[in-house]
Amino acid sequence: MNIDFILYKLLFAVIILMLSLVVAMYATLAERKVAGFFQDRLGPNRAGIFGLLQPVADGVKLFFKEEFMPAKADKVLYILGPCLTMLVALLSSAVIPWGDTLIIGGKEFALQMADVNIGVLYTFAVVSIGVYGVMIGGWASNNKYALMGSVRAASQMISYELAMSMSIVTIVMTSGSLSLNEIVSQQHGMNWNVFTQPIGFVVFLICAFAECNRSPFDLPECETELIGGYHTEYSSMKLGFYLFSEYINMFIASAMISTLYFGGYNFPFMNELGLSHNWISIIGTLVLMAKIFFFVFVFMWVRWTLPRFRYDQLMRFGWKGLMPWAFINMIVTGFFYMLIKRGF
Amino acid sequence: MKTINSEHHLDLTQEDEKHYSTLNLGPTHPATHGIFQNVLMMNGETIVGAEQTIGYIHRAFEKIAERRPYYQITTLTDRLNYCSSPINNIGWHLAVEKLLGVETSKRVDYMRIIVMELARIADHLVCNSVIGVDSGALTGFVYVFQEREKIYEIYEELCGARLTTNLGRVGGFDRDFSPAAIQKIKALMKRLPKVLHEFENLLMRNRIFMDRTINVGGISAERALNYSFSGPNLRAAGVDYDVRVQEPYSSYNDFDFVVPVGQNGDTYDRFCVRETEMWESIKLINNALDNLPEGKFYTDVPAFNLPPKQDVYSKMEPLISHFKMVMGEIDVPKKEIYSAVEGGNGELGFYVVSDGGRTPYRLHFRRPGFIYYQAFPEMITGSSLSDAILTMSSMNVIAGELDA
Repeated sequence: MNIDFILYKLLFAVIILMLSLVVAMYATLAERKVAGFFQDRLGPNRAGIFGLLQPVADGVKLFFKEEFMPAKADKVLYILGPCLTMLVALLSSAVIPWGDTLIIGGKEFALQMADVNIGVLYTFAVVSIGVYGVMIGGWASNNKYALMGSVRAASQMISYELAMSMSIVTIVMTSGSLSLNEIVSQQHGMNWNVFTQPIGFVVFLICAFAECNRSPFDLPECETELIGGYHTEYSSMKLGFYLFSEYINMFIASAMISTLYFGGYNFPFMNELGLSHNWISIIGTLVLMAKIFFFVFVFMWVRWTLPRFRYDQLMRFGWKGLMPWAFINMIVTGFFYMLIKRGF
Repeated sequence: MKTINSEHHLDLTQEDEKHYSTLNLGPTHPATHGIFQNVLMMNGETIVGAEQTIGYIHRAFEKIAERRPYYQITTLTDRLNYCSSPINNIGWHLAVEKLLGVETSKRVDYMRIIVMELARIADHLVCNSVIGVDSGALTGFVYVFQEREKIYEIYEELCGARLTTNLGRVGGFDRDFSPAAIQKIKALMKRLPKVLHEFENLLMRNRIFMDRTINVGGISAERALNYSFSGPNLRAAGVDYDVRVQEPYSSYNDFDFVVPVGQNGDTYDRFCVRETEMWESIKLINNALDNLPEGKFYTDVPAFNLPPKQDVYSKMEPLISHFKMVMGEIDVPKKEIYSAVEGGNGELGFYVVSDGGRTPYRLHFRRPGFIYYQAFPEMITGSSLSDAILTMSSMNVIAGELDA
């Protein structure tokens, strides 16, 4: 381990962190612009050109809002809730391969923070902790609506994580690796997993919506029923953390979808272009970004089109709708995989 | 919280109450449009008992009306169901005309039908799109609110006001439809079908929306009649009662229109009944506009025909007569009448007792929203919190009607 490596990793960590934050920041603007587009109106356009300074204005506003804490709230947990949510949201980007390697001065630099061999498990573990932030916050604020929101969040996340992991198990089965980098590099060119496992992809996509608490699964915070859901009692930047982490989660979820099913940084005809390795890597990173932004757009598109489920329907859909399909996907894929492997 | 003991609610013992929690839904909850409160007894997400509260915007309309001359009561009716105030205004004028025994001309009737149906469309647009909002689909709401805005622009053209319109006069109108108004109505009638189709495409056959609304907040025809439901909520339960047909007023019997009827009385039926009624209203407006007879825009009721505004401002005699009319120096017969119109959300009735004085001796507004709200606990007991929200918005309970 030399100093170059440590410096590079530090720099890369800061870049990834900034990237997550900036993307999340501008995702809030994009959400409002997209909403405006779908609803036949303009969206924010006062702060800066095209409203580009709107996220900054929002941030400043949130910072200067009064910090309010309910009298009977549990102080430690009340503060811990949003912090945990934010922390977890930022952690999960560590294992995503943002691109292939860059070769500078004969040295190879991976465009991935940590190529752990259990990357998929790591993401799952981290995302699962995320629900604690919501639960702790909802419980600590000592409000019935917040409590209902956090209870909903907990059961929703647990239910949908099952179907989600089931669809990922299939990917792990076919690729034979838990490392995200390995999974991506096996989808070289156009060998994307979405073509071999379309059912798995649909299940994963739906579960990703549920995991991010996005419409039509935004029950933990649906404003017409639970006022603000788990963050009813939050104000100022603590509220900002909750809202912000939702957008980071959306960004990470889109990155995971692109990585697992749409080949990550791979793009068609990448070998035929005849470009140098570094150029392919850079284009690959841009392609990955394009894929991510497309899925972020899909998240928003769905939000502004569909009504939301009721709680029991959500559960029924998760257990009776998605789980069987994830199972079928797993068994059928496994069956054919074995057939091909045995040389039929 | 005291134990809820009325006939439709579960009897809760002290032991039960330990397991349940009370939840204040409202008065300032995002889904209680207007201000009203429900105290719910919850078992997790399930409602086991509910108690509704009114009185948050008590304005003592009926008492005030006893001290106000007839013309000044029009502005009170604005504030009943403020989503369709022209219907309330014209309904009141019809009540006064019934009291005086005035027959209005066909032109006045047709003009009134146009205005009232516009108001009905505006009311139904609000209600149906808010069902969408409360189920999480905001986009349809924004689509139709653009058209509601157009309707409000037509109001502006007709009377100068938008929300609390104070539109029309006893015996007719204060001014004729201007060419701009007619042009705006025609333009709206051309645009509205497109937007309504778009809105219906978003929600009507949407699987999630159907799952959320079908068999939610249902009420049987019998229970609905017992509660004295009226309007779209009663028709959704399967009773074809429409004041426009049963007791035709303002020449509604000249027109051919369908009264849509539902089957289950649930949220989805109410939604569909309102949608269909909007289509019927469009037909009615087009028909009335095509057959609008020539003539005066008011009927001769000398005691109530306000002099033209420019005369009031420039001449002494019209000024005096205007003042006397508005301040109630008018003779009205000694009578007791009930007059009703089909309001935006049900039968809007005016029960007037006149002792011949300048003000009504007693005036009672039959406010449909108030009646629906009484049935609310029965309709939501046993369902989930999300259902309760949708039931409330689909009943179109307007807070302005709750207190009188």
